[in-house]
Amino acid sequence: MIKKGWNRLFGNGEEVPFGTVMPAMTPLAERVELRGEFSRQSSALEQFFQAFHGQAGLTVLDLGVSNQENTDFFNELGHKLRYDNFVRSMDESFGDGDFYANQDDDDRIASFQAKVLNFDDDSLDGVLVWDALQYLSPALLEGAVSQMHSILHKGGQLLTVFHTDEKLVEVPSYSYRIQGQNRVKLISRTHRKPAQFFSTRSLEKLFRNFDQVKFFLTQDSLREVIVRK
Amino acid sequence: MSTMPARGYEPDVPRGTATIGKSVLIKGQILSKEDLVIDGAVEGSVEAQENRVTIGPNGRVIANVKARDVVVLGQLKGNIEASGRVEIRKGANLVGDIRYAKISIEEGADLRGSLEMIRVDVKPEPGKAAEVPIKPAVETPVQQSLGASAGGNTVKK
Repeated sequence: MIKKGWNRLFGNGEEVPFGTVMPAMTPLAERVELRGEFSRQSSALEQFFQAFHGQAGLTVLDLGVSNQENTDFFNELGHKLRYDNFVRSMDESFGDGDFYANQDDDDRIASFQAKVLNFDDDSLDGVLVWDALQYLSPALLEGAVSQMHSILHKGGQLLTVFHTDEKLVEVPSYSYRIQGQNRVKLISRTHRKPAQFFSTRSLEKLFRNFDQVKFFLTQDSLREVIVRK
Repeated sequence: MSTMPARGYEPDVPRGTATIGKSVLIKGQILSKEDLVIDGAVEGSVEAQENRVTIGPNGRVIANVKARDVVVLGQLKGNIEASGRVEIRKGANLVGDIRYAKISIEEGADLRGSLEMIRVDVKPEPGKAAEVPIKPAVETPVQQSLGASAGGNTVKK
């Protein structure tokens, strides 16, 4: 049965000990920069796909905008890809007026929850969140992460990205296109004001219910995060 | 003043193609044995197993669509099953699951649902073309919700 709305908006609050927390620096890859887009190596993506090695028929949710590259990539691997268009759903639900004040409105929250992350518990092998979580207010963020934890299989992974420059008022929002098992193309879409700055500590706290969290700092002021349930 | 009769609206579609115009609403089951362009509203189901179904920019379809090829420029809430190619064009708004042999997704399309490639693993007999087997899709929530709205008038072409 598909859940209508998220059952646990504020999570269950249980502390689960971490496995490995391993900050690492993505090696200086050759960076191909075009107008408004560039591609680079992604250690988090490499980790994400390493866990899929030798398997087919897995189900991965991509919270980004649907695109040919990611679709073809998962087709070739024999996996099933789902799109949820998370950021667009956020804009539809909260975008008219004060984006963050609207995230306190119960009706808008219900509308948003009806659109995204409505999957059975333990039904997904991976979630490609990309940079969407930066734009959720703290309460909604906790609920979204809790829901992602619920819909992932045990051992399933979540890949997400946060900006590391806390001085920026607005941060670039990208569309992420998979170019290879360790390579991603970032296409700049717009600049958005993030809900908060995420430090390593705040991210550890955010993903406390997952078994493992790893961070990878990139040269473009991003912190790639991969978590495993 | 001309005595010539005014010419009626002629949609820009090739011969052998049926068209549902933008001011038309159809509720029910559509079975087509020719290419079909839907630029109006359809609720129910659409089937054109050996042909192409195009949902035009004004099209508003709440139906499962089963065809050889499917092109979406407008709005579709329902699942697609295509033995050939699915094209999701810029401006399309699609909520549903898609099973396909080939797919193209343009920038600017809004797609929410799952994508699953149909694998062709049947060896053709000598002298015969391979047929693409399509297993019946697993019933999804979209199909379940569509079940209630299907029925009513039946349009068969």
